[in-house]
Amino acid sequence: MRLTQVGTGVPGLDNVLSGGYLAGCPTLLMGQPGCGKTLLLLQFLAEGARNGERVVCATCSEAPERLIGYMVALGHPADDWVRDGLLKMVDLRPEPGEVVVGALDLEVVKVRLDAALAVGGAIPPGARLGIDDLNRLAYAFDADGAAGPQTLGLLRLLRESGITTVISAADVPATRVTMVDYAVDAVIELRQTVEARLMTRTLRVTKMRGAGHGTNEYPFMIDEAGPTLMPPTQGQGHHRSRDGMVSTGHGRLDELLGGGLYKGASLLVSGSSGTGKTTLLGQLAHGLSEGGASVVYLTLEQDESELIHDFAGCGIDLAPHLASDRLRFRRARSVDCSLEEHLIRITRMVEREQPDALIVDAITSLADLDSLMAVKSMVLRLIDACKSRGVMIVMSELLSDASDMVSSLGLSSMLDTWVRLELARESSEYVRLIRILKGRGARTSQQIKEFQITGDGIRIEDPYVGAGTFVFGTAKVIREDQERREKANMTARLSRLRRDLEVLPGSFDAKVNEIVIERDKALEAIREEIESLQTRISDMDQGEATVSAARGGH
Amino acid sequence: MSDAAPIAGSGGGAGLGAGLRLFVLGQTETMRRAIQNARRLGPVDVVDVRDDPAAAELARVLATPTLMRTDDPRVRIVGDLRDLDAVRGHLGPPYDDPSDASATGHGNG
Repeated sequence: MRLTQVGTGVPGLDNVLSGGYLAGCPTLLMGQPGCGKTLLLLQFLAEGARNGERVVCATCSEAPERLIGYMVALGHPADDWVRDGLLKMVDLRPEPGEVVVGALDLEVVKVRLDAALAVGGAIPPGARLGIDDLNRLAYAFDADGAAGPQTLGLLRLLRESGITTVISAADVPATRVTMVDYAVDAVIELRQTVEARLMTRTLRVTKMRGAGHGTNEYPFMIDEAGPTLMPPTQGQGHHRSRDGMVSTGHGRLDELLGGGLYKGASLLVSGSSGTGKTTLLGQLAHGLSEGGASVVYLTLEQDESELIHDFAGCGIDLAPHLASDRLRFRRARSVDCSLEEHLIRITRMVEREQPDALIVDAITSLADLDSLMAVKSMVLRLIDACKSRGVMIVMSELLSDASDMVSSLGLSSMLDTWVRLELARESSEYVRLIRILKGRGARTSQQIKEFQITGDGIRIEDPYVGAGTFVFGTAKVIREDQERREKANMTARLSRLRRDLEVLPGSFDAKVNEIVIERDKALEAIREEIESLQTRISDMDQGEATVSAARGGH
Repeated sequence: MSDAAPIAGSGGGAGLGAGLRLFVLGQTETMRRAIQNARRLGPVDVVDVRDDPAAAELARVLATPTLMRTDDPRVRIVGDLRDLDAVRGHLGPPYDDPSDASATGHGNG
């Protein structure tokens, strides 16, 4: 099988080059001093040596020992490679004081390179050749570059030899005219610029024969592990491996989210300041760790100690998780480096630590580094980097008070779950609210809930839903209290009425009896009086007759 | 036929007693000229780098022909040595005395 492209040894660069450097062809790395050419070249060689291939490093300016030292510094066992004969150094530095008398030929360089490349008399197909600072060769014998034409001749020989070669050269007119146009099959231009006081390195493929390649200017960074690129994704949906849900460790939150969070999902918590974003992240860090997940909490704002203290004040105790190392805090400052470098550092950290979840507090801290578009693109790539590794990413987004709670990042399409925290004003106080704006593949709650931060963790409460309106906070408490009292009153009255219903007929009966008795008494009294009067009247009549009889007898 | 049959005096210094070593590549006109010119200066150890690339590597030869003194001062001259007077001047004593081997009278070209 014939390989047409070979690995560059630089993370991300293979993607940009649609596979790697052209096999059997020279590729030119061109750029100003310090832009990273040599490191790219060394990584190319190290990649070959690591795979057991013969690699030759030719140097036209730096001492071979220094280049070996660089490789060691990049973490490669270059000394072992030299000892084992995998890595051969060819010193193409000119001898000082060499003078030229008459015609000369540089083909000897090719002879030396071939001799170094050969294993048992033949150059193996997987061999790699790197020539650092080749343009210096033209100036090997004088300051005018008299050997320039011969250098070009040497390049032609190299190209014809079919050896996979990477050449670095300074970006000078001679390089552009001769090497770029005639002598190489691929050209990668490196640049470094200073933007917003931060140095940014970029890379652009300006020529690549017979292979598709990215045409953009790709930022890259250099750290102790060498150069790294983070090319934007080509948008393949290769990271849909969210198998099963994990609990957030908080029952009500799980309910709200429709069961929990998918493994490897992306979650954004948006909210203006003071809405409780960080506390929610702390709760998630706690809950996920408790559930056995390994979590990295990357803080771009507060210190670890501040966070731990603040969380503890809300009843979220992270100490056991920190002790068990399931939860690790990592810290970055937005001003430490450029946006691109942040992205690469974070991605590299994720690769190194392989957590189940990465929490970023707050992603918007990076917004002061660059334009919103750049931040958005960076976040998209970060989400993608996490997803492609099956790492859940939880981020918080600070919404400015002026934003009217509208997210400026516009990440919706990349998010699986989007939680918004709000402050609502109820009469004379603010109440925290939580709502799920989006929850892919989960039956999330549609209702706005009250979100309370207590000394006992976060609490999610249903709002008061009486009288056709939602009420939260103290107003909710008052409304609920009022209602409670009203109800108690009514219950009391009801029982009173029921009692009345029972008692009333009896009490009326008693009254009726009383009246009957009274009536009877009254009738009796009248009858007695009538009788008494009749008796007295008849008595009086009898008395008159007696007296008259006594007198009248006369 | 030329007398440029390479002498495999690989590696180490003035083994043959020759104070001069000339690195050539193949038998092109330039190389032949250089060998002829060098021989006018005295005994020369001619090394064809194709046969002994290790010697070229050790001496860090960047171009052919390259003439060098194997003793001090370690002068190196690149080119076909067409201006023999200039070559003598660069090499310094004892080569700067033209009385010896320059009888052929081949001036400069």
